[in-house]
Amino acid sequence: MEEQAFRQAVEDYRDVVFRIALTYLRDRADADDVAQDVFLKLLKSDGHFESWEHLRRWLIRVTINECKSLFRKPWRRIEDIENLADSLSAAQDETKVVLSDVMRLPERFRVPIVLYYYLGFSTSEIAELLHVPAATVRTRLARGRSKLKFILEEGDREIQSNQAGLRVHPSR
Amino acid sequence: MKSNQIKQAFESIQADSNLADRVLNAAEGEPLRKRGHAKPLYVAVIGCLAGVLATGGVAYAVVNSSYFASAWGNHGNGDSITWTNGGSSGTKYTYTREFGDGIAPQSLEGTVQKVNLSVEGNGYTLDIHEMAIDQNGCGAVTFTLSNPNGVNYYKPAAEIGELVLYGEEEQGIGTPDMKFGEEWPDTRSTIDKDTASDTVINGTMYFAAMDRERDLQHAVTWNIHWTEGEGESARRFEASTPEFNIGAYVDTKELRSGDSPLEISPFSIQTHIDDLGYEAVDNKLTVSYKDGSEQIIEDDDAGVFNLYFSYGRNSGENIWVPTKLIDVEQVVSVTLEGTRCTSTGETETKVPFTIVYS
Repeated sequence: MEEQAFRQAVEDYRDVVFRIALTYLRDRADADDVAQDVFLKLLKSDGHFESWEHLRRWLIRVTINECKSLFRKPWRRIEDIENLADSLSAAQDETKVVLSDVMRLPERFRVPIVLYYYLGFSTSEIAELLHVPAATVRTRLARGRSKLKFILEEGDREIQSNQAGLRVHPSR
Repeated sequence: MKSNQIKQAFESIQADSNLADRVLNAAEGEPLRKRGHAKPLYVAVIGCLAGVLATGGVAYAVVNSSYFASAWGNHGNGDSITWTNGGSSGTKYTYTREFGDGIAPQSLEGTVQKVNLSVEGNGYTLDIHEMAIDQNGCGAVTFTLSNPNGVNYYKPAAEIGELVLYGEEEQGIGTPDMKFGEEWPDTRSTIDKDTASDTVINGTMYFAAMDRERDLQHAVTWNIHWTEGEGESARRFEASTPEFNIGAYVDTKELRSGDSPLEISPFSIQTHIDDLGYEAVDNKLTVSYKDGSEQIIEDDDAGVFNLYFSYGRNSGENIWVPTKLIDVEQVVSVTLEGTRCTSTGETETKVPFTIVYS
């Protein structure tokens, strides 16, 4: 990829990549490493993307793959969630509480919640990204919302129930 | 909590503004700044330790081999190890991994290939000894990593038998890796605790090709990388062994469940997940033998983790590389258990499934 296009891609998508990595890894340093590796792969790619949206999806896909590779280390220790939220955001306390609550969720609930409510993917799209059935995504969203103790306002986005055209993958 | 609060909260998180420069500099040969803890590894298990492991023994003619004793033994960990994941705020998960006894069935006689290649860099010498590989593209290779000035490895990982090195540290190298041509397989390296010293590490690298059709057409190299210099003058270096041409592959045996095949070898199990025919999340894999015993590869609910890694290939296959050799000739079936999720609107149900490949 040419440097100018690469710099623009990093400028546009570094936060998205970093936030997804952070969602998986719950560690700022690990997330930073993943973001670095993802954009290095982009730099080394042939750079042939049909659109900016194609590039965005490619980056998210590669980020998820990188995170899956790193997440489940036997010796890895999860960082303190409250301190993580403090270190990430200079925003209001309410925002830190939200981050803490989401980050405290187990990965199988945390990641779909963020992909759905932050990045705006449909359940079918999340299913493809995570290689799990859409029904599983819906189940995890429902349980994730339940575990957040508060019911996310309905009407923001309806959870899709259409299961047509799904690929079938056991979760890894 | 409103859903837009999640969006707002995450939008308050900012990545490093120097990211582009760091990556571009790395592409020019400068070392990547690594601050985290992790190295690539694909394993997947969620669960709690809940019971006693049920792993059977099988009687068979055996191969006397230092390779199998090293690569498929316990690496100085005893019969098993237990570890816990989870932090002060979250749920803790406990996992147990049982190891093999390093005794191979007679069918594996003649399958070990002498490699005897070396690579040197930054004061380190990596000697590759022997390897065995199956038709699933999975296997293990034994090695010795040495440095007269000391091997700089990550101690917390070594406590449970994993070898992890950091090439960015002074006088360090990254964890050695492997390539089929230009393609990296998934790898995981263990450290033999019994023989490890400050200057010499004996270990085993387990591997699984990312795409067996593509990768197995190429010769293999083993590689190390390191950093020389500091700050602005720091540069990343890599060194590779000469190429090794694989001479033979250990056969796999196909088992079936209806139209769905499963390929099993002493080193790995491969399923074709698209052939399952319905939505599923697997959580237990068991090998059953003719004498009635069982070898549990993975059991999420029980926290059983008798594998070096597992992952899903992009080509739609699932791979498991177990910690114990599988005596394929004695296998009568492999059982994959999991849950199928169904959803109708807001009503979601989970239905257990069991697939028996025989």
